Amino acid sequence: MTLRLNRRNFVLGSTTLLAAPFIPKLARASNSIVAAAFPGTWEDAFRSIVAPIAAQSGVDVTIAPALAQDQVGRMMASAGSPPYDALLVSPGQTAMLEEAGLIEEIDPSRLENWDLLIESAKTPFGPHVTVEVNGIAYNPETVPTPSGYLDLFENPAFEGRAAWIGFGSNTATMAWVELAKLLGGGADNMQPVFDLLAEKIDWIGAIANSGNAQQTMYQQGEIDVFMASTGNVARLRSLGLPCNFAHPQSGSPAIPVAIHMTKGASNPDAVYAYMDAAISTAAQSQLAEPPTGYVPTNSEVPFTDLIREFVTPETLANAVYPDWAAINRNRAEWTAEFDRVVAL
Amino acid sequence: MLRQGGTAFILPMMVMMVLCFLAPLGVLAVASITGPDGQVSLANYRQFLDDSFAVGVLWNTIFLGLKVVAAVTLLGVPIALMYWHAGPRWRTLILIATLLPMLTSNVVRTFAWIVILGRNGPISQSMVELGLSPRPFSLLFTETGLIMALTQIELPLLVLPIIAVLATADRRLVDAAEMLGAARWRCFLTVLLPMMTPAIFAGWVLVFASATTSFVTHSVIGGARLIYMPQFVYREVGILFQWPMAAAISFLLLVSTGAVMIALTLLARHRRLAACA
Amino acid sequence: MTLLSRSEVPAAQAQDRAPLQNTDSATAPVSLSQAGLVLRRISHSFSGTPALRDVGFDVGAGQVVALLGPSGCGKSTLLRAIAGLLVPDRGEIFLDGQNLMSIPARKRSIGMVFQNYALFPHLTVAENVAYGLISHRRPRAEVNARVSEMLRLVRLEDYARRLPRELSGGQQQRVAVARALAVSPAALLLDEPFGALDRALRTELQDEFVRMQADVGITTIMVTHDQEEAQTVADTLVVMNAGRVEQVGSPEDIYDRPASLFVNRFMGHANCFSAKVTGAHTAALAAGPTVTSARGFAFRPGSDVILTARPEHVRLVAQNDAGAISAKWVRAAPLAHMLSVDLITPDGTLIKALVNRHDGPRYAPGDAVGILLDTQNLHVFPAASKT
Repeated sequence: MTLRLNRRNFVLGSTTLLAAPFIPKLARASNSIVAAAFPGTWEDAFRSIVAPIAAQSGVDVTIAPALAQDQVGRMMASAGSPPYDALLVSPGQTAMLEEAGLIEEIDPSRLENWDLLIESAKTPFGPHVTVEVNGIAYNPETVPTPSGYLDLFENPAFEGRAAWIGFGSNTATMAWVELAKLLGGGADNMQPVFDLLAEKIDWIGAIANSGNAQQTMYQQGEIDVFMASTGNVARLRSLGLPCNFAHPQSGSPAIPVAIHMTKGASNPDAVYAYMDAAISTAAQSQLAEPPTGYVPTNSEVPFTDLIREFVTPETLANAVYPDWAAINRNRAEWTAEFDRVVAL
Repeated sequence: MLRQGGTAFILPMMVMMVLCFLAPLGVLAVASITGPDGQVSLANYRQFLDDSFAVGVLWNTIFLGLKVVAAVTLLGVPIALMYWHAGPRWRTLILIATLLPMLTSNVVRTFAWIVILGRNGPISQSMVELGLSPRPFSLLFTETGLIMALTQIELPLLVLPIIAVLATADRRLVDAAEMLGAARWRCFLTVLLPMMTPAIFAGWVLVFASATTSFVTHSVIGGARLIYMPQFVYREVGILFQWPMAAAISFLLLVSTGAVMIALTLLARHRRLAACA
Repeated sequence: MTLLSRSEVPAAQAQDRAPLQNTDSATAPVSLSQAGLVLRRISHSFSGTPALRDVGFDVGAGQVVALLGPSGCGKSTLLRAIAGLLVPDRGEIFLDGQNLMSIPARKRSIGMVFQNYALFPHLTVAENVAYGLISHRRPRAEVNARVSEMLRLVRLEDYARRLPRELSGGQQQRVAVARALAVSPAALLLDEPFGALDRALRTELQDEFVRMQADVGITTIMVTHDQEEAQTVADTLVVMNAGRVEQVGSPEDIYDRPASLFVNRFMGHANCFSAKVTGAHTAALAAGPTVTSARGFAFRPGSDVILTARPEHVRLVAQNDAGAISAKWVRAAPLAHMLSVDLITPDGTLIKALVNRHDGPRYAPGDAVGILLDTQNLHVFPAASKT
């Protein structure tokens, strides 16, 4: 085959290329969808495991990396012509999206694998694909096992060793809420945390902007402790790094991760196929293996060794499920206040 | 005839500029003066400018840009001078070495800097081994580290324009200065530097614009405690969903960095400097 | 005819000058008190390619010497070596008795006018002229006075505040000269100083330069590829070819007594004829006739030689005159009272002749004519020297 590049083809081709960012969905085949996933591990796993399974039912899934909060932002910015067909978010964002009317209730009968889900994973706006259990990741070779969040601010072994993030991150937000509770506050009173931060700001090792940045810093030996999900720890271990997961004494915050269909999704059938793929036994079995080690919501999938090391059905039962409605109410204020407290 | 014919040729470009550049700016401007109740109001600007923390962030951003410009100049002008004095082989080498950072993505470069600036990185290690520091230290999440990373990343933006000027510069000007008794420093200050100045100004504009808006580098190398305008805007957009406020802040950033850039550009139009171009 | 312009040079100027050291000066010893510029055995090569080979000559104090030659002959390299902008591989340069070789360019006290002038584009005319004075840390008042004086000398007083790009080419050239002379250098170098100017302006500025040089009386070396310019401006010409000095001499010397076939052909036109020496005073032209020279041929009989004759030494006669070389009339162009005639011999050699416009019959293109050479003014060179 020869490529004939005359001027007309060239102009046409380059115009199309230039226009591509403006027409992400129009230009693609009808049976394809754009699905958001958290950048990094999630994005990789969904691209390499879930997308191929969806492809078996003839659906072409493009995974677009975006943090949960960014997905909400972009949805709000272009209501009417949503930039994604499917979202991957947690309850905090689900509440916001639901309130803004940006996601569709789903028809469970369209999902073949719906009945395989554990009961808590069935929600009106779509299935949970996993439950992330959060806690404290630490380097067993350099620091002792932290007993809880407060320990990180009191035990001299952790001085300058722990990294934190602001309220943009779900993992961090849950940790801050837990810490607030320990200090006599809670999801409606973050002041004790800000007071602690103001007092102990030099004690803290680093305040990063994202979970990925924290993991990179952990890899470089910059920090030895950070707020993490079991998945983060599993990934670092798969890279050959020493990394343990500690359950805080106050309980491990858990956060489900759900797939939602956006209002105005270009191809609902394809979104259903994608959801079905994500909760299928095949996909969840693979996601439960290293390096991801995601806790399955499909009842047919057993906990792998990797997961059992961090999470047992009992831990799940005792997990702390934060009050996302309260968090959403206060998040903006906390974010602004956090900047002012930590800014150099 | 030709002049009018030319307009037709640039028309598609002008339409493109208006649609892709001016129109979004207009949308942003309108959004920035939209009050909470949808009325025209300067409340967003007032809120930002009354907030000493926010104004501090704006100043920090401008100072960061100026510091990076200074660092890039201190490093870039000697490199450009090396190029001036080098033979053809070294010239190619210097050009490639300067261009190389531009061929890697900003994200990759930024992550490489995490390794370099870290506690176990080469800077910390060599300082310890040279006995200049008692223990390993990290430059991550410090302004010094951020300036170092930005300096390396933005360096080509200054060096390339200067090299472009020097490559075609009349070497006889330096010969002439030498024949008129000028020693090296006088040669540099009175002949080479004025020759390079328009390019240096152009480079400054690029470096300043790039350093003050480099979101990824700010956030990864600077961390959350060093807050600059791009992160500030990002938080307003992505976490707080305060878009009119974000639009107002963006406009203030645009105006304040734009002022610095216009000042430099006007300076470059000076009769004497224009004569060198 | 190219010599005519010489008469315009003031006679006094030529007389005041020190006599020229000739040919053997490449190796002659240098007396430390010798004024002017002395060059000895200068050789230089650029990455293995020789650019200067054993170049040496003297320039007397106050003299104007023109380095003349085709492009690539090494004249610019030599000028840079004198300036100190290039350190030659070998050789020595003395200025007023001082060895320059270990002195950097900026301390040699040599002024230079560059090709295209190299004026500092961001400095005004006055600042350009003041540049050297400030480099030498002269007091402000002295600088101002000297700048005014120099601008008066080149008649640019009203242009002091202009930038170079706001000047015409001729004005720029004068600024360059003023800038070079402002620091009162011991010698002045000019690299193709009139090359960028149009013909009419060039003649005017050449005359002006000659006048000014006479006023200032500075030892001057000028590089040019234009022989007329060299003859107009310089008292002494140094003809260079392929990195060597072919001949040093006054313009007349070089025109009338060329040391080599190259010089003969480079300076003015030379008609060349292949010949074989047949006796002490005779040579047979390849074209047929035998030429007899009263001066004699300094070659062994049987040697192949090249005879040259200037156009003004070619006479046109009837085709069948005794000893005439047959040729065809190609075209003619009037030149003042002379007629420049192009002819062609049967073997294809082009001949130029310069004859009195009102002498002899008129011919038409294609007419057969005979050529006689003025045997008194023939030059003879070995055939191998053909360049």
